[in-house]
Amino acid sequence: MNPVLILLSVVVLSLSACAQVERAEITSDRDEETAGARLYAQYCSVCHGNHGRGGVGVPLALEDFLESVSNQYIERTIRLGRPGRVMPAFPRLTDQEVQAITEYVRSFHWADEPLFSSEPVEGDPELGGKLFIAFCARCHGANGEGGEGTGVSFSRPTFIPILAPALNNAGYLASASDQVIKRSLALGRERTPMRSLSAMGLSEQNIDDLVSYIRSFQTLSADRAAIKRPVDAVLVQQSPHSYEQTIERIRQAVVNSGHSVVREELLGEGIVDPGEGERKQYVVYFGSLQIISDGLAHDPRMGLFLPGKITIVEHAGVVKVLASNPEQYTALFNNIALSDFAAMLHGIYLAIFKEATS
Amino acid sequence: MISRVGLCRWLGTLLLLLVPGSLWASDLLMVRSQLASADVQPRLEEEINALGYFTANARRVDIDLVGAGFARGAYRSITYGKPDEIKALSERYPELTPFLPPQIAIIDERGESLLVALNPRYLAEIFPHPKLADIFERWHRDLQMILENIRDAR
Repeated sequence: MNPVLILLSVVVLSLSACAQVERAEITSDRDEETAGARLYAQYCSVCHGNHGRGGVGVPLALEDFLESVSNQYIERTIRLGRPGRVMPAFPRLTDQEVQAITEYVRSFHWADEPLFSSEPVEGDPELGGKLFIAFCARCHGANGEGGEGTGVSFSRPTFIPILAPALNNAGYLASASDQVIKRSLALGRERTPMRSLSAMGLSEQNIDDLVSYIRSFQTLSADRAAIKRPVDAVLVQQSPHSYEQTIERIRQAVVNSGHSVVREELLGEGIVDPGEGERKQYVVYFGSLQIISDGLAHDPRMGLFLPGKITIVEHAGVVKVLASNPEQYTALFNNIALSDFAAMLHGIYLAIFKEATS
Repeated sequence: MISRVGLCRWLGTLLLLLVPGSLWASDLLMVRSQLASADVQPRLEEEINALGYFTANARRVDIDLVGAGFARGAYRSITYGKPDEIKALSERYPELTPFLPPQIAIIDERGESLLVALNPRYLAEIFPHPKLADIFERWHRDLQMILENIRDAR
């Protein structure tokens, strides 16, 4: 065979192979984008919005946010979540999945991942504490517990694009390196209430002091992050009264507790034929506009449990009143801001049960 | 060598798509729909009915709130179930009644909708009765399908 032909064949084959490799790379990149988009749609868009504009979760498509956090910050946030602050942890996602989601989130704003030094910041936490009270506590809380409430529509004015994050949260502190915190403080976040502390006149040493103070929250956060389910998911109380009397006593107890009966019906009305046998399962919905409004303000997903619901059943000759235990809501919604509200609701249920079954 | 890397990445991507979603392993099932809550409600009823469940109490809940000056935005609710199943479960397991019939909340978010339901697998955890496990698992499967269809509806 002609050596020139052989050489040409080799060159052509090599070029062809290179082209295939390039196509394979592009296809693979597109696959990763697609995978990232699919995973984002599956796991993230429900709270953060289809285009990262936020919702129950904070907006991600903020230029300043993406320019001041590392991929590692995003990946750890996905892995660890924010215990007690709505964002769940995703421990079962593979590393590849987490990376694909991170790349997709990064694509909301086309810029390279910012580089961060791994050097820890050295500052004076005591001085930082004073600066924190002066510059940060108004939004982030005196102990870095963050702003109250979640959700765009229900819990805060829509002109505020994000809530102040909880800086004492174990998930945040484990995700954000010192340098990530430092850059966020120095640059702030445009189009959010978070202003640049450098622009406000703080020196680099001041900001280092603040970082050291925020880092000191790490020792406090573990206990605060512990959200446990209550032992009993259902509140139940036996009634010494007849089924009919118990229903009437529940109505009266609801009113005496300062609330209204919103509606009442046989359990499953509209689904189960009311004419089928003598069913002794009755539901009384109750509440007040203030309670419903407060519950939704804490977390719009509370709509799943509001207004309050009490069932009265007669089973094997025994009359009982039952309700889902509000103390499970904090864990269910991963929202520690619901704790006091849930405890208050729990108290209302117990008071109604006690009066109706006494 | 490079094409092997490409192959590995492709296989990795394929793996990503095959791994079951852990969103559904949480205590809540939630999806976002691009439809407004008023449009989601009838679609949701259709999807629920298509799987043999009846719907009831489909309503906008926040109207009184808005009327009284507690303006918060639209929030709807719908309950569903199979008549024989709801009847039998509520009679045999009265402790289940606070969670019956299952409910889906629809929360309006700037023209889109957030749908939230208690994961039936959560009920399986708090009521670990062997006879209930299969029912809750089927509810989970059906609810997942219903919500996915709503999520993808345009």
